[in-house]
Amino acid sequence: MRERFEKNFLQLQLGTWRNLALCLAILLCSLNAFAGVESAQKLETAFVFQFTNYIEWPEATAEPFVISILGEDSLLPHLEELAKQKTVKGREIRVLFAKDLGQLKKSQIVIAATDDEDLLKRLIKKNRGALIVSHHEGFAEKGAMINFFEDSGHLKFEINRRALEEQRLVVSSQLLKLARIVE
Amino acid sequence: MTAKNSLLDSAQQISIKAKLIKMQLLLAFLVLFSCSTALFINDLFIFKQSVETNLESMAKVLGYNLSPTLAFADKLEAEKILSSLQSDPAITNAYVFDSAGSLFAQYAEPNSSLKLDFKKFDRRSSFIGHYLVLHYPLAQNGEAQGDLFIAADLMIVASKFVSYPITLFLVIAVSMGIAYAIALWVQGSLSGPITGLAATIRHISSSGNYGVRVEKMTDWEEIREIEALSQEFNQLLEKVQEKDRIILSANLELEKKVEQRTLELKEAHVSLVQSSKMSALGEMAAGLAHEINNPLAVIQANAGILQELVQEQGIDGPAVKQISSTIERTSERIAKIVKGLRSFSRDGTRDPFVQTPLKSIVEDTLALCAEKVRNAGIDLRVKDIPADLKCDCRPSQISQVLLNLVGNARDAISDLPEKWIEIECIDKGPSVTISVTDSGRGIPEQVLKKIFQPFFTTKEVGKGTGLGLSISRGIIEGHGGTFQVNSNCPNTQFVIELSKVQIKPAKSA
Repeated sequence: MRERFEKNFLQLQLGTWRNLALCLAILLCSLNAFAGVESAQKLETAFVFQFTNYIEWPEATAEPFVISILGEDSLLPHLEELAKQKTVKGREIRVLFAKDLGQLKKSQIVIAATDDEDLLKRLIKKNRGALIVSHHEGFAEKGAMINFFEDSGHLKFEINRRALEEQRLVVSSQLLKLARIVE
Repeated sequence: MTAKNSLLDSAQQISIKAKLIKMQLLLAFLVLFSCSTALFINDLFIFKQSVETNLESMAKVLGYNLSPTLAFADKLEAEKILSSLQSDPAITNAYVFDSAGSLFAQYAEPNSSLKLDFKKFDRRSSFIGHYLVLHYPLAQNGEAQGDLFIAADLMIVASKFVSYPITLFLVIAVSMGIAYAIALWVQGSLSGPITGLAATIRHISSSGNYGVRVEKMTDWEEIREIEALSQEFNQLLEKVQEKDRIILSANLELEKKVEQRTLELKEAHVSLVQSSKMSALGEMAAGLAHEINNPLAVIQANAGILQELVQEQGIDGPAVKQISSTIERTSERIAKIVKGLRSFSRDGTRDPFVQTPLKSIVEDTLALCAEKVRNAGIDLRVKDIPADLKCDCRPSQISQVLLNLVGNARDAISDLPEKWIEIECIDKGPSVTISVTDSGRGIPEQVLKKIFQPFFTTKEVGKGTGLGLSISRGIIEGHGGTFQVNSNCPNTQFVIELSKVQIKPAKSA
């Protein structure tokens, strides 16, 4: 996306004045698209936080509620902002980022910000009671408990109930109603 | 009379019965009306509460289901949830707003006419037209998530309130009917005794029978105040009756006394009559002596002459005849006087009524007084009296009256230049009149009023008793006749009228 922007900019610098209006339009479109991505990420972050209201973790503790991001860090600023404002049932929210599986600490939610199937498989294998959230087609079937997808411009999610049950995570029927169920 | 007054009058004219019924019905209506109004308001309140409760529980369920849709911005799911409201016909509208205040999802029945201004809607619930709208804030973990507005059409729910006024009207009508019956019964028990009391009073005032008593009321209609009134009235009657008895006995006693006094008075009157007779007799004594002495002197003189003639001349036939006849006449006259005196001095009150010629009564009376009248220089005229003119009377009493009248006339005119007394008897068919007229100029009016009163006299002290005329009138009335002064006559005229035949024996005077 950034590449495209730079390309356009170059075109603007190199192109004729006649193309100025067109270029400006493209610029505006790009900015708009960028803003769209931003809000989509924000919404996804909000959704992740909302899952805490509809899913129960088996352990009862007053320790901070840890949300880790594995892979890409694009959601990190949004999550960090959210962590400042909210708590999960009185528990402070701590947001961690792990570039790879080795850096991953014990978490309640792990956002698998990756399209690497192998990484997901290793994560699932290593997982001890964390809710794994992903955003890649087919990942729910692969064992991600909640997987985002887009449906006619709306952000939706699918739930793998078996995966949740394996980690003894109890999901609310209210949440199941809104989700596409994957077995 | 002003309208207000006439109104007041008519209000006072209303009977207790009508007044009581009116008041009781009014009271019943007021009570019923206020009760049913209170019930209606209460029902309305309860109804609103129940609708509210319904809406609230509905909102709770909806909120529970809508909360995740808001959380995950799932408008489709939200609308799906709201569309489930179709199953409830009463709930017509539902609106869901997100925390930013923009419309998230809505549901409206096609027939619904509800127009909501959400900005102004700050209360929990409110009536808008015939809709009840409930505002239910949506929250998640104590954090505001949005707002749910849910509306119910009361016209659908409140079908029972359409029949409410009819039910109310029926209840009031039936109750008023019962109240009217009760009022009739109550007023009967109240006005009945009063009417009874009034009837008793009317009966007493019309019949004057104080022995009547107000009857005691039967137990069920007994009213303390009216019972007390009746008792007081009965006591009053008791007292009135007692007073009545006392007055009656006093009256009887009084009557007895009056009777006794009348008897005494009568006796006194009789003795007075007798004594007045005696006084008249005394008055006559002097004249009588004179009347008798003169003829006796003539008899004595003639007797002397007769004796001388017999001694001196021998017996002369005619002279002896004349003298002896003179002696005879004079003796007869003495005998007459004595007879008249005797009959006069008798108490004639118990004499029987006798058919007596008026002529003889007048002549017998004049024999007693004519001489004295003529000696006073009075012309005594007696108009010719038919010998067959008779009347039923006690002659001695009538004679006494005539003597009294002639005596009075003589005294009255003795000083007048013209002196005459006229006696006239007139046949009036069933009755006769005897009038005694003198040359006087009548009796002054003031005197006339009193002449028949006992002890009234115009004569000098010691000359008259003042009883003559009153006794005379008593005698004539005792004969059933009249005795009056004829004021039409220019002279002084007393007229006695007597029936020729007494229908029944008159009482003694």
